[in-house]
Amino acid sequence: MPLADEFEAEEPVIEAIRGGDRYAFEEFLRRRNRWVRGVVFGILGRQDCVDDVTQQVWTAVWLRIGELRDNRSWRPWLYRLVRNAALDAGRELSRRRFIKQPASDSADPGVATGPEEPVAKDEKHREVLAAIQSLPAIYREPFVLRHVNGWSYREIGEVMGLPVDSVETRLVRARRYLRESLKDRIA
Amino acid sequence: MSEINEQLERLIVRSLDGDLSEDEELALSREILRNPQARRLMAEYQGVDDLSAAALKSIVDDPTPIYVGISRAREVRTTQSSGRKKTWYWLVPGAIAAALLALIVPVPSQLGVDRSPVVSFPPASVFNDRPTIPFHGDQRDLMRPVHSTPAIHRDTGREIIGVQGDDGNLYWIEVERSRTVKLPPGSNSRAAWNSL
Repeated sequence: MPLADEFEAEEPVIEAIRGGDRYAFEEFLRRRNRWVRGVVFGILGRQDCVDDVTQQVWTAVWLRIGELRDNRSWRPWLYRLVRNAALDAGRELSRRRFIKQPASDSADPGVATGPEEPVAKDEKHREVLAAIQSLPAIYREPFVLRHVNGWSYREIGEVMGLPVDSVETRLVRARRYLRESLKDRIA
Repeated sequence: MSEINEQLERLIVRSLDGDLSEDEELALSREILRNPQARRLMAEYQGVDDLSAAALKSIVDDPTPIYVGISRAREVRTTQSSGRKKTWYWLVPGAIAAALLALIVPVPSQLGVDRSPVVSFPPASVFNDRPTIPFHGDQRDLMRPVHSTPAIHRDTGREIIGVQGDDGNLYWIEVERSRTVKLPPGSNSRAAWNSL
């Protein structure tokens, strides 16, 4: 569970990055790369695009850090950056017709349900990732944020702009859906 | 879900997420002990969570490196391509001017000069005041610079040199040059450094 202090501790690092400190940037990247990858996968629902989008995100962070007005608000700023990059990538892929149409109840028309086969090495992981990918985006995103980053309902709601009750509802429905998809695995 | 109402299901999920108060946790524990359906649902959701966490870990812990230098090189490439769009408008008058020049200026063969294939090498580097040839023997024709003047990256201060490989692809190379200061014998290096 991330603590508020953990996020506040990044403020001097952010300040150093704003000043052009490349080492501070690399340290920030090392600490938050997992976070970024999780958000990318949660939004895009495609494992094969995570590397490329993550690369774009970090390039954008370095180039656009000057746009961050308050160092304390780096988390929603970074989240918006990641989200926009992931949605752009999803739209680009849709244009190229490399992906299936999004699920009917997906909130984001540009977000795909994923490739036909996830590229995880392990068969069990592949099956589970396929189930997560097939979740509607509105359920997948909070579910991944919860499981990858260990965020609380409040923190998820904060970055997604949702009340805590809605986050809870989405997490319950995500699990209900996955329980059905993975019933053979969890039996 | 006849035996499990939605309220209980929410409690189970919030318990797995560590979001319950002590009182709620206690109430859920009592219900789990009393209700086998609730116990089963709790175990199944726990299974979903465990499987999902392990699978997601395989994605986010992927050790694919992020290279800041490469990112910047990509940025340079983007700038180059957008620049090409603007220069396109100059292609037409440029082509007309080139055609006129071709009509006016005689080509070397017409002047009786041998037309040897043009092979351009990277500029010779200097090491200890002695010029060195960057490529030797078979390496000579491997890479051909496509820019006569290297571009300077605005963030890193590094030179960006475009070269065309023998495979026909265009490669961007970032070159970091270090500054060498020669001090006269007996001079104080710290004083010289401070004077820079």
